[in-house]
Amino acid sequence: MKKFYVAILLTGLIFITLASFRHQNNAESYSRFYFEKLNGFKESQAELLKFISLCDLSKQQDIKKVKMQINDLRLHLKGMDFWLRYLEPVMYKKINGPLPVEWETEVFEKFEKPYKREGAGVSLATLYLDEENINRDSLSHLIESSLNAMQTFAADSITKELKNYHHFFLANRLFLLNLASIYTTGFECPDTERIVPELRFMLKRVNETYQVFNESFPNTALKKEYHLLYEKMIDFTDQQPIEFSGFDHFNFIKNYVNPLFALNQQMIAEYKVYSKSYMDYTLNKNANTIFNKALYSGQNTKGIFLRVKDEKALAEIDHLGKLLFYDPILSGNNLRSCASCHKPSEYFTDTTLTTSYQFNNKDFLPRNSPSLINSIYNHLIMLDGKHISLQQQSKDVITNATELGSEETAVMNKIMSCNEYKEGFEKLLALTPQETEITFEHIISAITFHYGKFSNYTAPFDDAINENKALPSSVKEGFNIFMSKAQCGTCHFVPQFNGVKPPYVSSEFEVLGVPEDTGYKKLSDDKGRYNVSPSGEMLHAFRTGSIRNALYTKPYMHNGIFTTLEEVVDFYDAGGGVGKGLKITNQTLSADSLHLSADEKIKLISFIESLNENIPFEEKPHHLPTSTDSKLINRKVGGTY
Amino acid sequence: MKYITTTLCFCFVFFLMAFTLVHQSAFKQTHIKAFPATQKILVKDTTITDVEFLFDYPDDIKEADKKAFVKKIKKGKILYNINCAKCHTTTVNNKQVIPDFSLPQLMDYEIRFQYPEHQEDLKETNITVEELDMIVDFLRYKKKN
Repeated sequence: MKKFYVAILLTGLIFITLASFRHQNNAESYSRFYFEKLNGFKESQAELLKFISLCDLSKQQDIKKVKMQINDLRLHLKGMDFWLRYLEPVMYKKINGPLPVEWETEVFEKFEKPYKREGAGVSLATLYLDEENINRDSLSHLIESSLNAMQTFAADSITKELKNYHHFFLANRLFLLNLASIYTTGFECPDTERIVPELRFMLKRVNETYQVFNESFPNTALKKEYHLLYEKMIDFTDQQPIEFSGFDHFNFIKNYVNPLFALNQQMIAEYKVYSKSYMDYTLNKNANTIFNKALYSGQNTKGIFLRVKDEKALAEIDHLGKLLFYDPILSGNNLRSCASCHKPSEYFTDTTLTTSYQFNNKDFLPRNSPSLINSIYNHLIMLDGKHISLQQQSKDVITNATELGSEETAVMNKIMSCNEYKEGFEKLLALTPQETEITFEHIISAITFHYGKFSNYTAPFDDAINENKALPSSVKEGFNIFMSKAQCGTCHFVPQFNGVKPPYVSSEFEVLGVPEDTGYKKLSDDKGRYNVSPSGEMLHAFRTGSIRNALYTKPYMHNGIFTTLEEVVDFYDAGGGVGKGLKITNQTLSADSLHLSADEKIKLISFIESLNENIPFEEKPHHLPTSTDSKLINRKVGGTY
Repeated sequence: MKYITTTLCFCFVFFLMAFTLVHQSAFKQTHIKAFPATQKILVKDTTITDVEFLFDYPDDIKEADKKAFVKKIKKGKILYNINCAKCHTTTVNNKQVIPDFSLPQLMDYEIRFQYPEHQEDLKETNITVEELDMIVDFLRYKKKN
């Protein structure tokens, strides 16, 4: 009997020993693979620095050699990008920053004030080589900064993530989202001839990473189905023309990237992957397609009612919100409502005026009234991004002397003078136990909840990707032009086609050089983002808006200067304000012409039109709640101007 | 037999130690506590100004702002009870105890994703920016246990 116990004990010990060492070795091989890549990248950077110190940068031949070495370095980066971009996004800007100075992007903007960060690395070095009078120190600095940044990626605080599988699926999700919107558009690849070759190289290197990961973490390996589809994607990319403009973005995303994203989401759920990074903060674990409108959360439309789930209560909030949206009771003179400038019958914008009337019904506001549809997919609200929530924005409009010209207490008193509002909100008060009385917050939240619901609908383009519905070939071609030659996709990112790019925590601001008049005599004097973040780079910068429903949301640009999509396309085709001859030192849009043909422009606009969403708009209310205040009896639904 | 038993005991202890060492990092990864032990904040000039709980005013608060501050942290407490209490409040001697948190633990928006449990619970679809601010202020200025 004793022998039996000894045998069991020994077997147990052997099992435990084997299990222990197996675990250790596997995790180590994955980390070792990472460090091999990291060290290889560092060595290449050191070699490039040495070469720069020895070469003659006044000779074209030497510049050409430096360019070739940078191209090699870019390939090293592509082999590591999968990890670097996810593990430390701020430091990544030193390795592959698209701009010399950035204030906005990658800032977790709802919570952090914009701060200045200097970009460096391979893309900026490539761009710098195209300038006249290249300075050796400046060029070296761009590479040295990148080399120094590599220390961060070797730090324990970063590499400890490699010891578990969680980071892998989250980094892979970001990689797939970037395949759809960044790696394929030339966002950070100045030489467009290299986009497809780099993409091919990258897909193969990531496949190697997949293999090593699977060997290291067999219990949470990528599924066979994923591998098979990924390899098909490699084959597809290899068969695509090398020219960037010939790449089939539509089928690349629809048939490969998007299904792979869905499989990765499944694995995130199955393996109970968790994150401790803000990189995953806004992303929805349950979205199984990139073109799900709930892919990431931008705004909370419910406001103070955010924890309310009961359908009946939500319907009541929506009902009150709708009445308020059309009710001029919110304005100082009881003549203007939200619907005055954001007409629900016109996609919640005003298509008839260049810019809306001011409160005095005489002067005009400086900016075009933006559509409220899809505003919920922004983190910063307004074209200068001055608000972090829809509720803040609504309060500002109501109390702004040039808009609704009212003030909080007066609005509350007027609303409470209407029984329908008073009783409605009193019933809802129990749903917000932190509040003992009806507040301005309740009023505002009902309004944002009402109009927010119109952003949940999809367009034919989404349905083609998600449900395999038919789409005209001209639209697909238009999308491919949008993502390549026309360079639209480098600012209007998939899937919302706004300025929010993966990992969807911040918005981009761009200086386009929008003129004051269509004769291009003068730049629009609106300072844009500069009013909020006063830096030279932000002067005349505006948050990139969505192009969804663009056909129905004219006029265009911040000042409504263009009235047709053709004019807008022509503006970009010419290279923005600078391309049209205006002097702007900080324009972020390329001043070079896109050289789009007439046929390409037509297809581009066909694609934009395929983003018109199928929204079931509602009729306006037949009446407004009756007030006990005689001055409020004759309010008109929607206001009078 | 005695030697075999002794050897096996040594082996067992040895392997147990090796196993623990090897898996130490793995245990850390999978058994993260919601909040580790807290550091007590020194509270100066604590005054009873509210029947519901004891708290301290921020050092630099102006007299005119005190009313709004009290209103804010009262809301913070209610919101804490709605959103956080189910995991963080404990019962000691039949009394509900809201734990003390250190300042680094109450770091602004990072609370939302620093702990795996918070990834879903503290999303902006569950707690607004303003509400989280109220909860943080309540936890920061409530009297320490």
